[in-house]
Amino acid sequence: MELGNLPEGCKFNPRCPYKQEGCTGTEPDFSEVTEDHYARCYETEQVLSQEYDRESASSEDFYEKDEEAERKTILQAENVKKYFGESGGGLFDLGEEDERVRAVDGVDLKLNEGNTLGVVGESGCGKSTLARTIIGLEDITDGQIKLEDKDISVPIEGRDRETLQQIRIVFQDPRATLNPKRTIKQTIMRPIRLAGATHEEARDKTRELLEAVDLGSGYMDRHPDQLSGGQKQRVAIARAFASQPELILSDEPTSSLDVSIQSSIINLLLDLQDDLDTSFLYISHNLAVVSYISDYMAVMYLGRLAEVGPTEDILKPPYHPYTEALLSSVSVPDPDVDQKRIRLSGSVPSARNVPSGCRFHTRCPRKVGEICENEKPPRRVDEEEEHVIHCHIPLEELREVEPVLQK
Amino acid sequence: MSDIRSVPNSILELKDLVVKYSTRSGDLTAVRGVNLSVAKGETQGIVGESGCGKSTLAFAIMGYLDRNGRIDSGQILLDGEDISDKPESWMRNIWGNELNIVYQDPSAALNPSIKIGKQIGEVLETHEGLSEKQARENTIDMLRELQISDPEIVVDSYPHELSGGMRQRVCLAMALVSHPKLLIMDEPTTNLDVTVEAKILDIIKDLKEEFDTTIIYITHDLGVVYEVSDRSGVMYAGKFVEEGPTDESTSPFTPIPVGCCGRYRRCPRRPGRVSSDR
Repeated sequence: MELGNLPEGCKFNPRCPYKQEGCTGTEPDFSEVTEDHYARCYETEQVLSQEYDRESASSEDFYEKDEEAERKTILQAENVKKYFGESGGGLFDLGEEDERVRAVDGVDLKLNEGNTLGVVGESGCGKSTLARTIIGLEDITDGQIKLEDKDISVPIEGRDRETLQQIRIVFQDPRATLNPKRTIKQTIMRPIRLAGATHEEARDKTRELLEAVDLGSGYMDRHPDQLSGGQKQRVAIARAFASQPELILSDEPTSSLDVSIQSSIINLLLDLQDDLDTSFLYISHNLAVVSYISDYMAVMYLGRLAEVGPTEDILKPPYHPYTEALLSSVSVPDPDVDQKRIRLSGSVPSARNVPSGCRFHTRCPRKVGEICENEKPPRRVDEEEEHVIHCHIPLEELREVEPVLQK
Repeated sequence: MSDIRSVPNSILELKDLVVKYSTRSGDLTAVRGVNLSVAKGETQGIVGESGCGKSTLAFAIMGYLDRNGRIDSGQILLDGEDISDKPESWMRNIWGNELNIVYQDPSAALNPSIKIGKQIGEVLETHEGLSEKQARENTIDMLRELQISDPEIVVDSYPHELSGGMRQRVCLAMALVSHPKLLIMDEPTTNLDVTVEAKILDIIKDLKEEFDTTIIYITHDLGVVYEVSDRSGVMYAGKFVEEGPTDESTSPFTPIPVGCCGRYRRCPRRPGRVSSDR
């Protein structure tokens, strides 16, 4: 939409899925659709006849459970820790007075081929640090990260070229990740050329990729400053897919974009994933986005996992009390949905000085007592080994909890 | 054309408002004839993508348009009085007093070198002639109203000592302390964590009951609009394309807000997908 160059007729017609011939004539006036509710649209009947099917999306369409068993594991993280800063004393003095920032403190994750694992949490919970350790931008303090069967617990300098091609990342801010002096063609061709392709092959591949992200080859010779934010993010995505990676990490790739562009970027990622069977680790604080695109979800709090499991199970009881509070904080634009009201007090404690016992106990609305302050919560496994909750409250009790969202 | 409802004794009424920016390549019309009527105590939500003119509309109402922007035609009636052609010297009397705005980024809205209490108290000292001491007391009460713990300590803090959510609450306090007739909120929770956002939205809902403030709430998030507003309008390319009571508008009628549906949890990948940003 360019204000200087608006289309004839309804201004939305070039993007509208319901467009008819009449829409390009004169701009529609307001008409009353329902009582006291006005809209400028010619195709009122057509739009009204479109039933919103909000329910259907949550069901089996997205999940092909039978296939899960055969999918091989792409990424496996075991007890990954990343501490920042110097430890207090010598090499073996890692005792109580340790003042290091425990950004990630013992995280276990598993991601299968072609699946998406969403990681959610508030700012400062360590989710971005986790992504940076996986891609190798940070060395890890302890633990192991495996890509298929290969140990990749080393920083990026120590990884071979093949590993670099296998894992790519898309960052939050496309403005900061594209070299302003390189054309789009140069930017995308580079990883393809490094993989050993000839100049011609790389150029053809680049053209294909740009088309796949809905940009077209007309953008090949442009520079990043000639693109909008959404278009830059599309280029960043095209570049991430350029080396045909097995795993793409996305660190809040849509949070600086407009909502309508967010949804088109997310749909783009999903389409590309369908075609190429790439695995995603998707990091965001936006529960709505994550629950939409992920097969599995991990909820992080202060460097540890609170809950991990298939998305469907995360969104219904039993919940970890933290997940419950997060779900209750999401704004839902649907008057028919009843949302339970839970508000957390205070802000996330400092990762330099983490609370004892269960890290969430200082803000937990369901705190049971001293046990939460003193003991690390047990790992409770729900049903089929997949859904894990770290909490002192027994699963039976958590199962009794009312769902946060109800029709 | 002004077939949207018109309420009698509205606090704010916009009549065929047209706002233009002059650029090197000629005039750009950012707001192309907007009619709107907001009743006292009501919250009017305005949704739309970036560039649809929603912030320009807010700036036009405030009289904060850039030097190259101007109200080309139309009227802005604040409590019956047309403020669209008033000079800055006149507007100064109502800024912060009858008309106020809260921005997206609280750290840019607060002066980093002035203590919180002084910044909020200034409004009261200037417009209501309160003494410094009284202003301080009212400020502390207001901060408490916004559920800031230890307001006595916060008044003596500098903005950088507070978290993002706290800062936004301070901005809200500053906007509400003079009980404005109209409060414009331009994406006030967009930069915040979901948990903090939920809490701020609760506070906004409580306060509007308590102070009977009329609010224009601008956002690109349909979920947020549903939470806070009584009525909402959808803007596209400088015009309202849909307007109505919020429970109606959020089962959006025009295809346009459907494009903004990415935020909806479990939003189905429906066939009528809005195409990209080109």
